[in-house]
Amino acid sequence: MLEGKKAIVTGAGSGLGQSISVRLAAYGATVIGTDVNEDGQAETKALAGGAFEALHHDVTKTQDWDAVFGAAFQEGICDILVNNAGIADMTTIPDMSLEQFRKSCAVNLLGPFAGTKAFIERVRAAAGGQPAQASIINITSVAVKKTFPIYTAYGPSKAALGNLTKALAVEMGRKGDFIRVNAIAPGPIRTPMTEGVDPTPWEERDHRMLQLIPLKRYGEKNDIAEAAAFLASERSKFMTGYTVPVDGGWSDI
Amino acid sequence: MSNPMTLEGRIALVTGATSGIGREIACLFAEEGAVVIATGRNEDEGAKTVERIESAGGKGFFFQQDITSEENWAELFAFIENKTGVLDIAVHNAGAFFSKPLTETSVEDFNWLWKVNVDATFLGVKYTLAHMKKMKTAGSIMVMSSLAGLIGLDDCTAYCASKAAVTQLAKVAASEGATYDPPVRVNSINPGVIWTEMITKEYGDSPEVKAFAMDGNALQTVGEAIDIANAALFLASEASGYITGSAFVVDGGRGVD
Ligand SMILES: NC(=O)c1ccc[n+]([C@@H]2O[C@H](COP(=O)([O-])OP(=O)(O)OC[C@H]3O[C@@H](n4cnc5c(N)ncnc54)[C@H](O)[C@@H]3O)[C@@H](O)[C@H]2O)c1
Repeated sequence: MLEGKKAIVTGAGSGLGQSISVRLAAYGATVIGTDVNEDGQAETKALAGGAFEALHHDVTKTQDWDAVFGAAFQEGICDILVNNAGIADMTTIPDMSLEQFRKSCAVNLLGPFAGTKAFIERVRAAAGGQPAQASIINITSVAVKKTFPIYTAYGPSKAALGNLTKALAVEMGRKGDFIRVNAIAPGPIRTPMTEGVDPTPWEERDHRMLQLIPLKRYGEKNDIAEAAAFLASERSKFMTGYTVPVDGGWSDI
Repeated sequence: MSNPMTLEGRIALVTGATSGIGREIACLFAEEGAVVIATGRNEDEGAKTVERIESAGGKGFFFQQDITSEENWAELFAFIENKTGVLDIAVHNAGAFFSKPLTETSVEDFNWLWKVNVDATFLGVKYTLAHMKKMKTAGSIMVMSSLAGLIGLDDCTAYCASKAAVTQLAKVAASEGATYDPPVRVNSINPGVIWTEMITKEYGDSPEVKAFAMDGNALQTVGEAIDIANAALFLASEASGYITGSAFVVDGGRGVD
């Protein structure tokens, strides 16, 4: 489905980013995975195989993005950008400092903004005057539409990324390019992120969030990876500005 | 590598498969391995759909159906249970369209569209859910709504109201399907302007109409039936196993701004 395509996936060293990288590679893409987590990157490399290249990269640092795009556009065009790296600071408002709130926005919103802006410039330059073609996928969250008592910073930072997705979709299209911008809003999925937000071991938690989910289960990492592959591929060529809810029905029912 | 997008070994029902989007869905599903039951009123056009499926090496049946007849739904499910067994996938795609200012729309006009788009979809989803529950199938049901079920479209009161109704119908059906063992997923597909006979019959096939269709969406391109078929394939397959209750918008960005 993605033969001959090249993709950048941020946060590729863990959880959803790892699964997305492995699936895009399995569908035939060459993947440049970026992360600050080097052990995780080595694991992804072992799972994804030869089509995967790991780069050390902090999405909040502009100069790091330059290095990523230098590598990605070295030999021609890069077709796909998956803004997946994110953090979940679940501090509630009495204890949350402005600094902490800013940090969530820096990783979840400003990082994808900086990366997307530079990506679009590169894609257009590489197209050399022809309409540019690319698919940008932002990983937002069910927290964009539904809230939970711990989403103080996480929700707003993801909601802004969801709205940026729509704004860019309209702006890109109207410029005569064929740059599609969509999002995936995952519901809760067991990854190092969701394991890490609570000191109680996974098995001993009350899992009360499941009561809000019609399918009464957590999602699988691959559910997000498959949605990403679909949005990256030509199968979704008439889709832009949409957020695919992969949440067991939580946000719609 | 296993391929979660495959429909190998599945049985799929597609209503309104005698033209446009429905025919494209039926053909793509068959190409991806499903046995397809294509329904519609026009036998000749139904035969063409089956011919196209078979000439691509797939397997399909035509069943002549008036979706507004409840008796006909019962017959269809008897046919399915005899002929192919358990149904895994259903796309309730058949529907109708007209455009008229609200003040010129009679209650007869309104009720006619409501009967085809809402009553019939209700019956279809009801019979499909009951079948899947009985057969214990982890099924996927789709109803064909429209972007016009989410935002207003000029001079299309009856159409917009009917498509809003089926978008909501899908969500509540999803809630019910989620309680089954195994669960059944239900989503609506909400296409923007897709270049099919439904558009050209009402507005004509002129370059102006085409330009208008393109200009209205961010990608400035015309949506094709295959775009909807691909979305249906994704929603039908295991690749979307955690997606239910959604209004899946395929509109080139038309509804965003
Ligand atoms: N797991 C879920 O339930 C869930 C639900 C909704 C949304 N999401 C979103 O999906 C994405 C991935 O989540 P996950 O569960 O895989 O989390 P994770 O913590 O397992 O993985 C995130 C990865 O991003 C990397 N990262 C964080 N900050 C970075 C930075 N500044 N620069 C570069 N890399 C950075 C981390 O090192 C980590 O490897 C996130 O955006 C998250 O918000 C996850």
